[in-house]
Amino acid sequence: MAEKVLMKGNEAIAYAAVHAGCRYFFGYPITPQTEIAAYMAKNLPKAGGVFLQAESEIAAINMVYGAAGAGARVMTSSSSPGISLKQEGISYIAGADLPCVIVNIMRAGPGLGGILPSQSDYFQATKGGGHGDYHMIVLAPSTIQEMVDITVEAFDLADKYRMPVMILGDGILGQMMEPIELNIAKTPEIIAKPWATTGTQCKRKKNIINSLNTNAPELEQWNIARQKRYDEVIANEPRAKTDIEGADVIFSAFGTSARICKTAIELLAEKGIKAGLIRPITLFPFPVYAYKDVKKPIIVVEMNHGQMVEDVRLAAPNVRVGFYGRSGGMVPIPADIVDYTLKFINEGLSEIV
Amino acid sequence: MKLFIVIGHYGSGKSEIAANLAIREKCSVLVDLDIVNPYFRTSDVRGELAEFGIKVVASEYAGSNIDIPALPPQINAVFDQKEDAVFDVGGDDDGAVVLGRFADRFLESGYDMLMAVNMKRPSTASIERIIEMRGAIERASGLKVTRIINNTNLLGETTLTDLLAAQKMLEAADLGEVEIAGFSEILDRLPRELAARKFELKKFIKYENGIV
Amino acid sequence: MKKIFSKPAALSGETRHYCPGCTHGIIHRIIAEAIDELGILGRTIGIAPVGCAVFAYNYFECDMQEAAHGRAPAVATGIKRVLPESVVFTYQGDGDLAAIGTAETVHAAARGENITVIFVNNCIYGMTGGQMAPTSLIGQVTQTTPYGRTRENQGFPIGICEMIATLEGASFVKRCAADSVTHVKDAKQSIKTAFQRQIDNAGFSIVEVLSTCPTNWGMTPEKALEWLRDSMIPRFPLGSFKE
Repeated sequence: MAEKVLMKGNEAIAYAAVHAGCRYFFGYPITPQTEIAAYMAKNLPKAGGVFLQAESEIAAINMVYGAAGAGARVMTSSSSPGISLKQEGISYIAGADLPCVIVNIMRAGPGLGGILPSQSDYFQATKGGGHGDYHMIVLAPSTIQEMVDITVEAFDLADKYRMPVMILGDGILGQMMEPIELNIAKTPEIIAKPWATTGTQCKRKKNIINSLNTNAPELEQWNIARQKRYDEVIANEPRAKTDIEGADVIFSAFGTSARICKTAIELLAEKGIKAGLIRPITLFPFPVYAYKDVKKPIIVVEMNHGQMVEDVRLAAPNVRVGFYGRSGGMVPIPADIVDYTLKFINEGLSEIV
Repeated sequence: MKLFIVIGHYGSGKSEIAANLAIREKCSVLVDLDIVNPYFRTSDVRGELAEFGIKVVASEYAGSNIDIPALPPQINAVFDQKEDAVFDVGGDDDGAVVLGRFADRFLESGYDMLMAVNMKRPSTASIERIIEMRGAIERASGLKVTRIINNTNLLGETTLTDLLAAQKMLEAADLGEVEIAGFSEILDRLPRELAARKFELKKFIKYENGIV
Repeated sequence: MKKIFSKPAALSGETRHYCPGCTHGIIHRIIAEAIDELGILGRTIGIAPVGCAVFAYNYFECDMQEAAHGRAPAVATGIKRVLPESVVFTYQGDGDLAAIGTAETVHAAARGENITVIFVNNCIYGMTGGQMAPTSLIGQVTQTTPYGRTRENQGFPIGICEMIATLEGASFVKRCAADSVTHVKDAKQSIKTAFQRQIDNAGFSIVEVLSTCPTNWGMTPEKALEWLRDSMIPRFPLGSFKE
């Protein structure tokens, strides 16, 4: 049996990032992601890397831009309000086709909101956030082990598709502890970056990292090329964990909410109701395939006011879709999810809308 | 007046140990001095501890939606009124810094500082790292560790083998007295010769309801 | 026939877009000459700003990154931390460096970030059509100060060199001008010194170059040079603030 250690979610992300070859971290303090920066501050210098506390989130994401442009595996992390500040930089990173990893350990919003857990940045993460036609790959782990595996993969995906990847966790996942395997199975896939600005050494033509193009037809071509890459991502990368066989009703939830749904499923089983679960692991690309053959009603459970519901409705247009959520740092309680489910079922378990 | 301080690496189970220690030592107060950790703290279990006649003194904002680690003025009353108390401190040297603020009062009253150790946490997985952590905490707090609490665990995946292996290493190192902590399902199987050092924990600190 | 004058190798062959009479072109050239003379072209990485010099990435032959408005010192920090052996410079105007990017400028200097900042100060926003800059002078009429900049409403211009010189991380802080042969030669020498400081790992270096904007000032190039001398230099005195 592989040796296991006990880790906090935030710590696990940082641990996995170093394993993935990330040697540069630029960030700004915010609760509840603190342990990521603390881990990097302690461990990156030992690994021959650099941890730098920036003067702002804005500066931090632009340092990421510079380092990514110079060809490094680089990461920043923050929590909701800090991620809002990074949006300009994220748009530029996407526009210049740079790979990097951004971690958002979500807290309650909008505005200053609160430090308690939330999932209310789903729209921001999956639908843009900054200006322009761009996407990030958005990964939503739900266990600490998965945080480790997904972090290593995030760097590979970023490099492969030359785009920013966001790890979308929430305060609970960041703060909770679980055993993880000490040895990370996945070997990072390090690829050459001939486009990076590493200095020409007077041996090649110069490289330019840039998102500006004054020639509209040309800029459109850049955008089209990027959209084609997004199409590849949509074709190749959607992932979900699905357990819906024989279910009368199906929950769909990501991250912490999916874990809470599992308890609700157990409680419903005691009442003789079989409930299933579709847990998207990639939020962009949304795992549409997982909903293709669903014939039963779906209840989306989130720690927000129903942001993923739209994607579920688009993915499952022929079934009834309900929603149960809490926000502001409140976390859904399994018994309340059960109550909602019973009412939802009583309104009719018709298979088709 | 008995004063206990629980320090250690973050995630070593300090809060769980502090709550159980307050009960075992029949203390009247549990002081939540954690200025580092935003969630899962002793102040979350105020209600349960009240049943044991234990009052929790914590930042007004502990466990709330804001991270203002302002210390409550009632802490001074604990010293002034010579109460028996347990101080639950934040993780690592970062969390132990706050003890420096009260170091003179601890030195004046006398104290017992327990270091919670989970050898399944990477930063305290070896004796060398534990000594490094202890040194950092002692420097930050201006106080000395008097005892070790071996709380080696992997939550639900904890085995007696792991716990005993850690105990053997900790006892072989010159770290002072080593108590052995855990929940009854593990400690019930403890070899007889360790019975005197057994510190059975009751579960207080829980994750949000229903997260499996 | 003997070739007595040529384009520096660090300057690309691309035709520059600057208005006739603008001093950006001169400043580009002296940076390129400094790079050539120090023999650092292959390991130099430049960062272009947002502002009139936004296309600077086309004009230098070294690797270039284009930064968001004001963020060049942060981008430079990211590059330099990854490639400590490289020579990294930013090229920024007054709006980019002294308004929207003040925090990035000040903190890069405070950290002693081993980068070189070329700061082109012409007291106006050129790119957007002549609005007030953080360095616009009291009384200066611009599109957004149609009655002249006043101390009561817009307050005072910022002296960047004076401010940066107070920071321990800054190793070389100098203000030059692009208005005369003597001043241009001094500016070139200063840029060379700034690069040399970076090569020696001495910390943050900044060369401010007072520049003209005949188009948005509404002056002939000659008159603009006079205005630089008569109005700008008294408020922004030339010289070394830290060596």
